[in-house]
Amino acid sequence: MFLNKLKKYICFLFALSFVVFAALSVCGCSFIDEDSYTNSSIVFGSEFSVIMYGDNSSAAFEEMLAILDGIDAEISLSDESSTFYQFAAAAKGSSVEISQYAYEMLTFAIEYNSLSGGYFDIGLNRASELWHVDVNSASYFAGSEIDFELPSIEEVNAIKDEIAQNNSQSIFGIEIDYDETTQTANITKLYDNVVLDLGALAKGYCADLCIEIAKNYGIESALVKLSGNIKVIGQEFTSGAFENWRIGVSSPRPRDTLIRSTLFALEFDSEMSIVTSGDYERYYYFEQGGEAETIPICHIINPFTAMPLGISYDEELGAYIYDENAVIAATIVDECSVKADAIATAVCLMSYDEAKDFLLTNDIDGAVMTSEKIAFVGISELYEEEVYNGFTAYEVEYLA
Amino acid sequence: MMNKEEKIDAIKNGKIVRISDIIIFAVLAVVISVIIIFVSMRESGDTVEIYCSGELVGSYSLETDASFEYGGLCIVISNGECYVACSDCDDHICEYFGSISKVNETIICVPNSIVIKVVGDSGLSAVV
Repeated sequence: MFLNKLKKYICFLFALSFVVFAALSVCGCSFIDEDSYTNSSIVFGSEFSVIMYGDNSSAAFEEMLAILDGIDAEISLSDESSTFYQFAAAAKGSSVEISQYAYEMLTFAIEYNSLSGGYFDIGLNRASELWHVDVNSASYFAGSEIDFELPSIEEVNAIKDEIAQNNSQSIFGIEIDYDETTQTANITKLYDNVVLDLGALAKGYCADLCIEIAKNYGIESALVKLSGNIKVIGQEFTSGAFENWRIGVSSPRPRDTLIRSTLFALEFDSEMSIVTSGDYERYYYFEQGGEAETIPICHIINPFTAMPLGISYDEELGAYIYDENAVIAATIVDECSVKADAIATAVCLMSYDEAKDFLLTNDIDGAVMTSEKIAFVGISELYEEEVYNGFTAYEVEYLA
Repeated sequence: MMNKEEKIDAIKNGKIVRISDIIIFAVLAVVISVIIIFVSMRESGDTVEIYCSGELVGSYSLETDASFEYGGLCIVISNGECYVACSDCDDHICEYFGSISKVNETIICVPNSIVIKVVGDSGLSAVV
């Protein structure tokens, strides 16, 4: 009798261990993911990638790419055949016809120029060339030898006056004629040196556009990434369930590293865009020699000084100096990606206090940081703060 | 029921497996399966982080082969694994750590205050 009982007990033990084993293997290895569509390409000289869910994802991506390539070909300042390249080279009084997309981007650019009090400016390409931070300077950012001198203060001031003059009569020194009936737009140059660089907000604009295209294809969940711009709708399917999109923001410091640690992360449960701008991706160091310090030159140009972010001229020293208290990065969260893109750039050029006030007054959510401080404006809840907490070494402020 | 002698004969001839044998097999089966599950679930990392005196000084992808010097250590990343090939310190202990590739594995060089740590998937959808 005792033997039979034991036999039953042992059979049970075997069955139990089998069940436990089977359950553990199922949990560990075989989550079945809903088919996600991911693809990427290069647009505007940087990464464009998507994650989408739905049968039409591939067709949607093809359409996005075709439209983005079309915009790139029209607004590029490095491609001699582009409309905006030719417009830049043309003389005062010349006019060109532009696409509906370019017209919309110009309208946004003017809107955000006035919203930011002039800090957001698309007419800075000549200053960018002067400082070797324009579209053709990628090799310097990649570490190739600095084989030029910084511009003299006279050259910089000349460009500064030119920017002020271009903006004096009408914003960016152009006249826009939009014909409602034919839906065509023409722009006319008011000054010889007007160069329009729509690249300053094209990525944000295109992120909005891509999400609209995805929606038109019946896609309910998608993520679009264009360099420092991310826009999401719906949710992400991960580990067997739909979850809110979780987006990390790279730490701008240390500056020279191959992979950045995460400063903080945010979770989005609805259509939202997050854009980061800063001095840490496209920059080079310039050794001024003598008593003058080695300064970082980044691609964000201040329209009021025609100098890069944080740089000013020291008359006594006769050299450029870098302000250690300058804003080094800004992240803006807004449903409208083109707005977030323009404002993120503008905020980087303000002083830290000015930037905080600007976001608070205009009810814009985001984070602004210097090398020592970080302020979260309108952001009260971070995603898994105990894990993604690269900001704890900074002096942290939460403003609402 | 068998009598005692019959039972002993049966066991000797291999006709009956003893209860205690079965218990041992069952326990072994459970232990082995648990070990196999834990080993196979140990996640491969995708990034190595380098800390100097506790401060993060750099992160490198395990997917890209690389070889570089940091703080007196020659750090090599190859085939998804990271190891220290040489060190300027006296004890060379970090060289004997071997290759690391699984999440939370570390190489520590005490004389140079350097910690190399493997970290895994960030759990984020994307990073901007």
